[in-house]
Amino acid sequence: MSADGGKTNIIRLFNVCKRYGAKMALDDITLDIDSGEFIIVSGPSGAGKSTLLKVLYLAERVSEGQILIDGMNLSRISSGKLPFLRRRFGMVFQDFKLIPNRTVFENVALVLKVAGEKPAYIRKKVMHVLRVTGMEKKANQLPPTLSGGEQQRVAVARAVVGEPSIILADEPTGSLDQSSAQQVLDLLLEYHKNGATVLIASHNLGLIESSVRGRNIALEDGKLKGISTMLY
Amino acid sequence: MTRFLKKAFADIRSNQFLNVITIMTIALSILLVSVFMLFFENASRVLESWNQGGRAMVYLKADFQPPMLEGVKEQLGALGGIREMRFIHKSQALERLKKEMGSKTEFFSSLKINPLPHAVEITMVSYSSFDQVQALAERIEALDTVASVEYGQGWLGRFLKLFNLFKMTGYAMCSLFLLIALFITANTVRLAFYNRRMEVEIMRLVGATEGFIKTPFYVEGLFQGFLGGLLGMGILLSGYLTLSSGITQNLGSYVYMDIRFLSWQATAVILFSSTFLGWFGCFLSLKQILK
Repeated sequence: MSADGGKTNIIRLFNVCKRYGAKMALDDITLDIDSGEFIIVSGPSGAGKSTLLKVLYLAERVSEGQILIDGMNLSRISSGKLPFLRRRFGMVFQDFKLIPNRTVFENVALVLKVAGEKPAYIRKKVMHVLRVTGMEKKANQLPPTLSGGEQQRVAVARAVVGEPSIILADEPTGSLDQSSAQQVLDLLLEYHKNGATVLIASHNLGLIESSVRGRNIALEDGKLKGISTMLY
Repeated sequence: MTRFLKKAFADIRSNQFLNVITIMTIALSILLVSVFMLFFENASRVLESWNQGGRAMVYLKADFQPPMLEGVKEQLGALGGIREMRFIHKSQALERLKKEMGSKTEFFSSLKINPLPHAVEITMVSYSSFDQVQALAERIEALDTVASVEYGQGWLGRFLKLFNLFKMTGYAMCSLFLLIALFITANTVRLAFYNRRMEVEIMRLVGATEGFIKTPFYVEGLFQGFLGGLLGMGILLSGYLTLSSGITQNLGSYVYMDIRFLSWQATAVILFSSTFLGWFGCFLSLKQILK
């Protein structure tokens, strides 16, 4: 239970360190995140924001310390169980990471396909999510034919289609104009309202701070600089 | 499974050139292997037919008398490796010789004594090497009643040596070509993998298991191997049909040549091997890439 006693800690970090050679990308981070929280991980470039997200979805293993996701100790997760852990996350990246030669529909459907869902369910669910994200009419287009904002909306659709309990977004608005960035942020907020825990790594707080009620975790040189509450 | 098949065929379509090259390489390798198999199957059958009548003539010494036959038969039987024995009296041998000589038999009428020896015609059990035949003949020759043994040692020895040499060359060539096919299949998978590495990375990020990622590659490898095998066998069959009809038309009246296509068992083994080759190339490649 968290300090307020109402919610469980879905993510817990204990003295987490991540080293790349001599450089400390994360330095002794201890942190609890409640289920359903909206978290902004902020800081300048090289502060360790992306690394923090990477160690959460095990793109990188920590050098020291422990991470618990919903009670699971990540250091004890075998490579065979890693895919099942990843299915609990929805991920959004600054560079979208969409498969260029697959249609919008196929990109979003991939999440459900890897989870072994039936084709009829996949079709229904994907079309629903594309409708919510405003991409329904572009379901058969290839990602390179879309604008940056549209591609990011597809990425958000892919992140939420599996109804993950945690959404991790690494600079999701970084390469977008103001209007597209707001649309993407609104979508993430929409899913946050439905109960998902959202972690956004961003170096540009202006837009986010004005839209979100949540916590801001500030990093600098891999260290936890401070935690503040955003009260939109 | 349907999903994996669809995915594999879509991947093959998107990498047509690479896949065609791989299938052609496998087909050529399989063609070479099956040509050797066709030769060996036919040559073995010819050898087997000779072996069925794998007879030898045991010529007995001049002092042999027919009452001693039982003793000789016992001695021969004790050596093992002999299926049948038939005594040929020297008068019977002379009659046979006269019959074979046809009209040129005046010479025989001038003979005061029959110069031919008594003999025992033996049929050996099937032998797998010429050395075994030779060893048995040497054991027979060592018997005190035996003068000599005639078993076609000159030409049979030479033929078997040539056959074995050809067999060894065949093994070496087949191994080499299969290795080349394996190498090319593995490389095709590697290229296809690098071509799709972003897709694989994204699949991993969204929680795809290694099995989900690898299966389409394996299906692709199996498909390439099977198609390559089928194509190779198809080329062999058309070559066989063309050549065998040519041989029958041109040589049929001079030489009896019973050339048959590969047995269905051999065909099945070749197709299975080529399919396995495609899978194994894929396995080696993925093992190296994903380690």
